[in-house]
Amino acid sequence: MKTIFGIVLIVLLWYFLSFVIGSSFVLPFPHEVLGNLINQLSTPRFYVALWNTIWKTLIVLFLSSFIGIILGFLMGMSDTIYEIFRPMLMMIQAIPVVSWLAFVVFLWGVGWRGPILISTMAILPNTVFTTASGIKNIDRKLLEMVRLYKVSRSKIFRHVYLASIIPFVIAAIEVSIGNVWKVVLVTEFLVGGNGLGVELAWARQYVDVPRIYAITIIAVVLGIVTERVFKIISRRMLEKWEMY
Amino acid sequence: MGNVLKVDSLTKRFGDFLVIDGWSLDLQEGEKIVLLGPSGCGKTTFFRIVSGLERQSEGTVETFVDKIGYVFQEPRLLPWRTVYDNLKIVLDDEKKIKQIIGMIGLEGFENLLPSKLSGGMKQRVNIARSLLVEPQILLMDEPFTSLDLNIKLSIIKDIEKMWKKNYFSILMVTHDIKEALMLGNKVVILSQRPARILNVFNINLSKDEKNIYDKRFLELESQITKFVMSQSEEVLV
Repeated sequence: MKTIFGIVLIVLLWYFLSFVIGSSFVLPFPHEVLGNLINQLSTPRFYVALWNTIWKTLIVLFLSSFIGIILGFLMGMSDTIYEIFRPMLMMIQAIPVVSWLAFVVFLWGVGWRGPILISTMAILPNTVFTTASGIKNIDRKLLEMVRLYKVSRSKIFRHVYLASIIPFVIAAIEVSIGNVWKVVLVTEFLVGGNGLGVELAWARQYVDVPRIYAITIIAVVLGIVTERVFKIISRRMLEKWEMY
Repeated sequence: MGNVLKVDSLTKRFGDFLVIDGWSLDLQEGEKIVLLGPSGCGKTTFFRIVSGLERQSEGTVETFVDKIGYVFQEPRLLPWRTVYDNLKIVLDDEKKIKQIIGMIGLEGFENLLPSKLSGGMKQRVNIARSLLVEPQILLMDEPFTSLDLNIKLSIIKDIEKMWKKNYFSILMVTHDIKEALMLGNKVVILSQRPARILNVFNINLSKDEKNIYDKRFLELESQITKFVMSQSEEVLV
C-alpha cells in the first residue's frame, strides 16, 4: 500500500516538473509517455528489441557470475593468485565503457558481441572481489576444526567453503542484477545491432522524447522485477538448504 | 602401558614473547592429566601444539597415536549445519552418532541449527564431536566453563564411562580445582606466563571419593589450593 503512495508521488512530481519546465522536448507529461508506451507495446518491433536485450543481459549475468565466482574463489584461496589478478581487475574496473568501443568496433563491428563483452567486463570485477572477500572471511577456527578432525577435502569444500561464500555470492549477483540492465542498454546504444538500447538510439535520432522515456520505464521495470525475482528465489533456496 | 604423548623441553615464543617455558611431560595410555593454571598462561597454545595446529619454537612434541579429539574452548560448530550434520561431518556413522547424542543428552536437538542452541548445548555438541571420533588422546580446553553444575557432573560421568570402555588418554585444561580432582589422576600446576610446570600432584581418588563432599577430596583440594596460593604470593612478593 505504501509502495503505491510512493509511485503516486513519483507521478505527481513528474507532472509538476513537466509543468514547470513546460517543454515536451525536455520532459513530456506522464500521460504522453504512457500513450507512447502503449503504442510500442502493440508493435512486434518492440518485442524483438526487448527479447534481444533480455538474452544479452542473461548471458552477461551468466558469464560474469560464472567467471567471477571461479576466479574470486581462486583469488580468495591463494594470495599469489590474488596479487597476480588484482591489477588486471582493477584496470578493467577503471576502464570507462566508451574506451572499449574502439576496440570492439574494430574487432567485431556493430552487433551483439560488443555489448556482451563490454557489459561482462563492467560487471565482472565486483563479482570477483566480493567472492574473494567471502573466501578470505571464512572463519579460520572452523577450518582448524575440520583440519584437526581430518575431514576430507571434498567435504571441507562443500560444507565450509561453499557454504561460507554463498551469502557473498548472492550479494554479488544482486549488485550485478542492479547494474546489468543499465550497462547493457548503454553498450547497445553505442555498438549494439539490436535491442532496447538501439531503440533508444533511434528515438534520440528522431527526437522522439516520449519514446525515450517509455523505453526508460521498461528498463527500470525490468531491473526492479529481476532483482525481486532473484531475491525471492535465493531466499527460498537458502531456506530449502536450511542454510541461514 | 605405553606412552601416547612425549613432550620434552617444549618452548613457545610469539616473537619475543615467551609463552611456554621448557615443559617436559609424558602422557601414558589411559592417563588423565589436568593442567591447572591461571588464564592466559599458554595452556591453549600447548594444546594447539600437541594437535599440530601450531609449531613449537624449541623442544620436541611426539604423539604416538593418530586419533585426537579436541574439545575447543568455543564450540566451533558449522552455523549452517544441524547438530546431527555437525557430528556427521567428522564421522559418517549413524549408529555411533545416535549413541553419542543419547549419551551427551542432545536427543530432540539433532535437527536444530547451532543458532537455536544455548551456549551450554553448543558446548555439549563440541564434546560429543570430540568423543565421536573415538579419540586415543582427548584434549579438553576448559570444556565445562559454560555448563551448569548438574550437566557438568553428568558429562564428567559420561566421559569416565567412555574412558573405562575405550581407555583413552585425557589432557584437560581448567582453572577449577574441583573439576581437576573429579577428572584427573594427575594434576599439573602451572605458573603465570611465561608458563613453567611448578608441581605435579598424583590423585588416587577412588570412585566414591570423587565427590565434592568427600574428606579426601576436600583434603586434596585444600592442599592444591594452598600450593597455588603460596605460589601466587611468591609472584606478588
